[in-house]
Amino acid sequence: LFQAKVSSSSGALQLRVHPTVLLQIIDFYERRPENQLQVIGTLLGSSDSKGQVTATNCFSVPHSESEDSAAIDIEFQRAMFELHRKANPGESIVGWFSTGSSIRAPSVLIHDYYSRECRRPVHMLVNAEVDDSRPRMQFRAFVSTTFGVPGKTKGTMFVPIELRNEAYDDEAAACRVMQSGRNNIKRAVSLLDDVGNVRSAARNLSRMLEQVIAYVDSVLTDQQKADPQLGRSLAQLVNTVPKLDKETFDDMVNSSTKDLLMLSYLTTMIRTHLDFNEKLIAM
Amino acid sequence: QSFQSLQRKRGIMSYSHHRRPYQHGHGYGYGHGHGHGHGGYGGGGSHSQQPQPSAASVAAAAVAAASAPAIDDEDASSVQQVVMEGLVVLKIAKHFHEEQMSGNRIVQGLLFGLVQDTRLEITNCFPFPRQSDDEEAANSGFGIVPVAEFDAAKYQLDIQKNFRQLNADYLTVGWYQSSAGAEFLTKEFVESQFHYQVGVLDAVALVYNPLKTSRGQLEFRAFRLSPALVKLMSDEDNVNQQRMKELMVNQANLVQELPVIIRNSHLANVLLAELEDSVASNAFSGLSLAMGSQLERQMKSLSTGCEVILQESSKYLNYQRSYKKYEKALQDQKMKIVYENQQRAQRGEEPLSEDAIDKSKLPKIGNPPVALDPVLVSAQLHQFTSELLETVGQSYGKLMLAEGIQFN
Repeated sequence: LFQAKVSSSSGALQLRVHPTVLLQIIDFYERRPENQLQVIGTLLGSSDSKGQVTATNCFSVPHSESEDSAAIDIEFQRAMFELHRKANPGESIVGWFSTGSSIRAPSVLIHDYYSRECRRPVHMLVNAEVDDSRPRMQFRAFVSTTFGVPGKTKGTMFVPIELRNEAYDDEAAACRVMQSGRNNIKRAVSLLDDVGNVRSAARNLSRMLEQVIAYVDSVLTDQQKADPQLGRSLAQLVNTVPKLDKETFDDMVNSSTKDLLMLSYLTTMIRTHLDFNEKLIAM
Repeated sequence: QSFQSLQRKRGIMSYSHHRRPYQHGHGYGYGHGHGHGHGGYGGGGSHSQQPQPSAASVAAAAVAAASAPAIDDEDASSVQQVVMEGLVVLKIAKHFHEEQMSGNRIVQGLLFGLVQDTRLEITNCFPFPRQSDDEEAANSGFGIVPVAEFDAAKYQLDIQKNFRQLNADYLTVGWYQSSAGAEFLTKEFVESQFHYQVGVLDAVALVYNPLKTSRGQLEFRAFRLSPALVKLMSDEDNVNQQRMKELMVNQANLVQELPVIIRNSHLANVLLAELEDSVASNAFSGLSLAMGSQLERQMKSLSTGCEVILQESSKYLNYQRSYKKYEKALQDQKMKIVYENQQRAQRGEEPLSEDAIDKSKLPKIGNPPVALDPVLVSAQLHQFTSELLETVGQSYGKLMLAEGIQFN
């Protein structure tokens, strides 16, 4: 899972990442040129005074690196940043990302470059190599500090900071809708219309209810121990269904249904009228 | 199946094995006109074997686009379906969310991707900066670009140049726009889409409905103009009633909707699985029974639309009436001349020519009303009605659900 590390000594620095950033990094990683093992790029977002950095967007930057040196296309970085800034002036450089399993020597050089672009760059490391032995992706975030003997040799060290996922409601809803693509042979998620959505939500609801009922049954037959906490929340759940007697409820449902029927009648009438109008004008 | 080998395959083959470069007979120039004015036409987007587009080739492509060959039925696009990547979905949702916080309701941007057989794949997108006619807003430093200054072609070229270096698809396949409900079929929409479609035959307009996202659904719809409409609009001076009848352009025939599906790569699906727990959203917010405000809004748009239609009809009727008067007066004058000629023939004088009709005595008629507008409005109304019917259906379903829960 996301490793929550001890916050760095200089204040509770925290990186919050939006799913847009992660998806883009994966996309850049998939599109990397043949001879390259890793991609790097700039993280865009905002940071507030309390030390929380939020990354909302990113773009990758062509680079080349070897055992002990690295080169980035600085012109490209600047040009892309300008473009992004035109589109969204609220975003500024907050750091950079790299794919890979561990921090490499050239990372220090790259981090150095980014320290010139922004005040306190955050370095995000994404390990997208997933296989049977390591089935989870790894995301980590670091900042750099100097360390060493004062007055003599100094070095830079990357200190891990906490990384959290956060998303706008819209992004979260989009992610949730796209989850169903995992179970589909063609990995396709087709967008449902209104009624379809109600149907799928109802299906989910019934599935969850079945799970709960199964649990309750197993507790009643002594197959599982009863958890009082769970029992309390279940009682709360049942109590939230408003208790109306049949008549009142029927009245409410009927009046709503009548409204809906009226609306659909009016709308169909308008539609017929439109078609009619069209024929008249065409004459 | 090992994830690692899968992922390595993607990296090393660098996508060329299943993403053919976009091949199409017509050069891909593109232009865009949206908002309150028309941007310039721009050329660009070269084939992957050519070097980066130079200024000369850009100009040439622009000329090619401007003098696009005559559009006949064989040129109709073969695209039947639009496939989006999750990346684009998230970027558009995020773009809208951020713009909305600063009060901008319409949000637009470009779509990039490629065409493969009958599928149009959208693999990337980029937002347009906010534009406004308001001089003051532009100078306030919030990044709002005044419409006159915004060089759309150059902006697009810059994006494409950079995307090419990143090995991302850089061919413009369309544009996207957000809309409140079904309210997108305006004149500007049709004009913008026309410009894109002329440049790139398969260009689509993607309409994102953010109102549904707040209820937990996603709505993206892809449209393109029907070939008949494209034909009509390509001859700008001649958009009148007759041509419309010839080409059979009516409100059902204006735009074609294409089905949209979302597809993610394997790695992206792994990522989504990772995020499933940490990025939570209320899966059942769409089941709320409080649809009142939604229905109200839709009814309101419907009634405004009806009023506009009424106005257009009355304009048309007035025009017809005045035209009739004009015709009648013309006929009267002609009859008078014929009569005169008869008399003159009797007296042996020369007959008057028809030119002797005194044009100034004829009643004036105004310009004929623009024929496309009422059709557009009625098409928009149709969209409204479909949307309303859908919402009604959904509400009904929810009511049934509530009833079921209550009594079980």
